[in-house]
Amino acid sequence: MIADLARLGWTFLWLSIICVGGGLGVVPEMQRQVVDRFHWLSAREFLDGYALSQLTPGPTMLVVVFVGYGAHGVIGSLVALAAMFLPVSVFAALIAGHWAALRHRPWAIVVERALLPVGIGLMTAGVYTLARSGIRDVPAAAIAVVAGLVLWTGRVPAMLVVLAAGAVGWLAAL
Amino acid sequence: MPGPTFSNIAIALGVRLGGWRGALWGGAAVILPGALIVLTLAAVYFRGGLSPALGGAMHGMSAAVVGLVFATTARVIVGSIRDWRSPLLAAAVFLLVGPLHVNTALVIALAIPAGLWLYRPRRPSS
Repeated sequence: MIADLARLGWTFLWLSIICVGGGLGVVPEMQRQVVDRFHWLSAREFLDGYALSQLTPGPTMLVVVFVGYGAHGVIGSLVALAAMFLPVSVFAALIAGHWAALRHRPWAIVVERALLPVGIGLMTAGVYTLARSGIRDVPAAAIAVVAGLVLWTGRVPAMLVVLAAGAVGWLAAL
Repeated sequence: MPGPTFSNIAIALGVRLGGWRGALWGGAAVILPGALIVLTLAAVYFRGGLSPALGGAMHGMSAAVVGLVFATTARVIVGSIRDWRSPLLAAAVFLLVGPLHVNTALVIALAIPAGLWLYRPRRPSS
């Protein structure tokens, strides 16, 4: 149990460091570690946890609380939360004061330009990973397409669309 | 900057407004309320509280979230393509991390130097 908690903490620590494309970009690797390697959750549970943390105000990466709970209850979720947010937060606080001054240097502009496509590639891989476990049948695909189109217009809040889709799924299962 | 973007912004703002104490409060204010909600939802979920109807609702919401992340990503892609280099690098990263299941840390370690090389400053010729 202690050993597995340490594995949980270590896994989310290095996952937090490779969060280059925001939370979504780290989803493929997180699923591989959490589902395929350590079997803390099933692919279905991981996707459901991701959906629930999208519904919650706050960073998407709160999904680690869900994963930690699934693995080892409340202690697991505390370990996962601390590993994901504490070290990188300290780092962010350390460089926050300096970045504004550094970002106009020529090398900083090169770094930003180089990181953007890497982040986009990672995000796209995140969409691919979530779609592989979330879109298993025609109704799910239809919901995803409709939700995507509605959100593309930008007129409806995301949370409302997700809740409406939940209502549709609930009625369909009755 | 590595790390979950959203909380980093809150922390950066906190630093600017109130130094270390500001960073602490900024981070906590953004992370902790959501963490409590996810914890509660996880407790309900894993206690086997999912009746078939709730399972159906979960399926619907997950499918919508796939549509949501697709729309978000599509918007970022449309807003950021300026030349041939960025689609090339993004596509390579996608293929390696997504369908080919290569370890993300390894892909980043290869892709960042590749990106820096592609975008290296050039002296004007002539």
